[in-house]
Amino acid sequence: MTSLPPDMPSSATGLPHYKLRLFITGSTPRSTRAIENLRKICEENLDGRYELEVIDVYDRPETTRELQIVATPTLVKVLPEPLRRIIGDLSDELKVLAGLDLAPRQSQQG
Amino acid sequence: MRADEDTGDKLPSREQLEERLREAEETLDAIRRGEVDAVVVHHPDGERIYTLESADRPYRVLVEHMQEGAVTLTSDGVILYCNRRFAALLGLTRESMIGRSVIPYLERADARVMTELLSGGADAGAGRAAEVTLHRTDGHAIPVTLSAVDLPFEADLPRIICIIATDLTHARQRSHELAATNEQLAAEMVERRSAEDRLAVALDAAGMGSWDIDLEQGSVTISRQAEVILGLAEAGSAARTPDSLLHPFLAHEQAEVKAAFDLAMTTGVLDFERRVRSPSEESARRWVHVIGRTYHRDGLPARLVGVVADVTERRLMETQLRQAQKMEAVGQLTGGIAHDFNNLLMVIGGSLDVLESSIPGENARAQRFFAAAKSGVERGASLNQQLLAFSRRQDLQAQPVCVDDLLRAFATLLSRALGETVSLELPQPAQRWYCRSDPHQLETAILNLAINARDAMPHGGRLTIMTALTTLTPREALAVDAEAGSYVVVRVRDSGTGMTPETAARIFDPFFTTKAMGKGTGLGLSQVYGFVRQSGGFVNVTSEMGQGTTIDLCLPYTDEVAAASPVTQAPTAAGDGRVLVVDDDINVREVSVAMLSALGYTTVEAGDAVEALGILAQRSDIHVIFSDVIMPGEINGLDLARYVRANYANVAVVLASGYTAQQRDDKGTPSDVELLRKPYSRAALAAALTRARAAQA
Repeated sequence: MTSLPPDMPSSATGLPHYKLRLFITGSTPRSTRAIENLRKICEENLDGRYELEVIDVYDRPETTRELQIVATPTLVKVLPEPLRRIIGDLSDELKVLAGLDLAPRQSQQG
Repeated sequence: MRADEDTGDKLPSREQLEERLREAEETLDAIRRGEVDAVVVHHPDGERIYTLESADRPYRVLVEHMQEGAVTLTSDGVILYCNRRFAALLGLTRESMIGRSVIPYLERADARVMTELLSGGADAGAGRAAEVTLHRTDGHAIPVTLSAVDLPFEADLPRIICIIATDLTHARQRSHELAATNEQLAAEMVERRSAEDRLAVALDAAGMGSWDIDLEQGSVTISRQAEVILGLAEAGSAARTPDSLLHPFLAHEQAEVKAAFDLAMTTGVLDFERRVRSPSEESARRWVHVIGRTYHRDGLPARLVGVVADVTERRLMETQLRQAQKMEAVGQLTGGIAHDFNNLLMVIGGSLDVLESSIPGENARAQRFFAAAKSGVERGASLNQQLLAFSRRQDLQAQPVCVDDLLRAFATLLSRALGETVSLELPQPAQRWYCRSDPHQLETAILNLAINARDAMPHGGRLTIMTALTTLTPREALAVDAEAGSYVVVRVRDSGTGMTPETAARIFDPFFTTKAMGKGTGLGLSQVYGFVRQSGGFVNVTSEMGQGTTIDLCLPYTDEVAAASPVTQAPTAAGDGRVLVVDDDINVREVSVAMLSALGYTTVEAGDAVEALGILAQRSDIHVIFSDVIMPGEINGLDLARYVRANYANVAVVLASGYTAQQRDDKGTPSDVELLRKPYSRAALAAALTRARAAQA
C-alpha cells in the first residue's frame, strides 16, 4: 500500500482536494499499469492537491467491503463527492479524467 | 450490488441512478473485456480474492527461481505442488512427484518429524521448522532445513501446508571444512610448540639465549637464558622495550650497538660481538655475540629475531692462541739469529784468545783492549743466552727442584737486586713441592721478574714470592696450551704501577720494553717465558693499572725428590793428544783449531761428519772428536757422536752447539758425550776436553 501525502489544503487555490483509493492485486501486470497510469494523471492534473492510497486486496481483503469493490484494479474517488469508481487499468486517460470530474465525459461506453 | 448505498434517507435521483447504471455497465464491460485481474467476492465470513488469468505469474516465477525448494502438501503429506529446485534436490522430475506422499523421500527416522510438521500442532498457522535428511535417487543424503506454514483457507476446505526446503549440504561441508582446518591448525600449533621446545633445548645446550623484537608492537620476548647472558634481571610480566636491551652493554658502546640494530633493519642481518657489564661483578666485562635476522611484512621490517651467546671464554682462548702463535714465530726468528750470532761471537772470542796468547811480553795497553773486547764478547754471549732461552733452544738441565729451597738460598741476592725501598716477602708454603726445572734458569727467571717488579715500583713497595700447587683439567690446560696435570705455581706479586692490557699483552715480546732507552734489553721477561714454556709450563699475567702485577710461573709438578749434585768446575788444564775438529764453518773451525793448539793439542780438521768418519777409519791416533752439532748433510753431530761412541771405544767426544736443546731428540745424547755451549771460552773448552777424556779413561 502506498500513500502519497497531501501537499497543501484546497483553500489555497480554491480548487477541490482529492482523496483517491486504488485497489490492486499484488504485482500483476494490470495492477502495475494502473499505478503507473494514475500517478501520471494525478501529477499532470492534480498536482499538489490529492491524497492517494494504494491497497493490495490480498493484504487487506476486508477493505473492499466498505467501498463495494467487485474487481481489481479499481480506482475510487472518495472526495470530492460524489463517490465514483473507475474499473480497469486506467489506460483510457479521458475516461479517467471524466470519472474524476476533471473533463467532460465523452462516451459512456469508453 | 449497490444495496449498501441504498440506505440513504431519500430516494436516489435520476442522475444518481443513471450514474450507478453506467458504473455497473462499465464494471461488466471491464470484466468481459478482461481488464481486471481479480474479482472480490463478498462472503458473510470474509472477502475472497479470485485472481484471473495469470495474476499469480510473478509469484510462480519467483518461486521457480528460488534456490530453496518449495513444496505444498496436504495435511497427510501428499505433494500438491513443488518447484523445480525441490525436484532437483531429490534428483526427480516434478511430474513423477506430484500426487505422491513426501514421506518416502525422507530418511526413515525423519518421518515422525514430517508428520509433526504437517500436523502443525497447537499453533497451526505459525511458522515451524525442522532439520531432516532427504534421500536422493542416486543414494546421496541431502540435509535440509524445512520451514513450514499453513496456507490460510476456509475451515471447510482441506488444509494446505507450504514448505520451504533449504539445502544444508554446502553449509555442512563448510562447517566440516572449517572443523578440519581448525584441527589442522591445532595440530600445527602442537608441532610448532614442540619444535620450539626442541629449539629451546638445543639453544640451552649450546649456551645460547633467544630474543625476539616485535618492531610493530615495540615489544620484546626474551628467553631466561638470554637474560642471564645479558645480565638482565628477570622481567617477569613486566614488558620490555627494545631499548632496554641496550642497557647491559657498556655505556660508551651502546650507541654503536643501537646503530648495529638500526642497520639490521636495512641489511636484514645482525652480527656483532660487544662487551656487557657483568651482573655479579660491576667491574667485570663479558663478551657477547649477538646474531639476528630481520623479517619483513609488506616491505617493512616487522620483527628482529636472533640468539645471544657468551663468548668470553672463546675470545680469551683465541687471544691466548694468537699470543702463543706470535711467540712461536718470534721464537723461531730469534733462535735463527742467535745461532748465527753465536758463531760470530765464537770467531771473535776465539780469535781474541789466540791473539792474546800470541802477543809476547807485558803489553799493558794491549791487555786492556783485549779485556774490553772479551768483555764485549761475554756480554754478547749473555744476551744471546737470553735470546736462546726465549726461543726455547737453550740447553736445559732439568731436575727436580724445590722452589722454596731455591728461593731461600738466593733471597739475599734477590733483596740486593730489589734495593732498599722494596721489601721482599717469602711466605712459608703449606708444603715443599718439587717441580721439574733447570734451577739455574729458574733463578735467572725469578731474578728477571724481581728486577722488572722493582722498576714498576719507583717509589718503593713490596714484592711477594710464594708457591702453591694447582691442577689443570684438560679444558683448562687447552686454554694455556699445556698438558693437563699438576703444576707448581711460583707467584711473583708486586705492589707497583700495574700495566695496561696493551702492555700486558706484549711483555714477553723480545726487545719490548717500557724502560728508558739503555735501561733494559727487553729480553728479561722473554727469557722467563721461553724458559717456562721449554720446561713444559706456562705463565699467567694479571695486572691492572694502579693495582700492581702478578705473574704466575707454572712448572710441571714432580714427586721425585732432588738428588742434588752440585756441578764442580774443573780447573783449566793443559792438554795433550790429537783432536779431530769437525765443523762446516771454516772460520769457527780455524778458531777452534787455534784454541786447541794453544791448549797443547794437535788437531786434524774435517768439514763434515762423512769426512770425519773417513779420517777415523784411516787413522788410529785420534783421541778426541770435537764436533759442531748442527752441520749440513745427512749425518749431524749427534749421529756422529753416537756412531763414534759405539764403534771407537777409545775416542772421546765433545759436541759444541749454538743451541742444543732442540737436538735432544728422543734418541737422546750419549751420556758420556760432553756438550759445550757456544760461544765457549778457552777455559770451558779445556774443561770439557778434560772431562770427556776422563770419562773415557
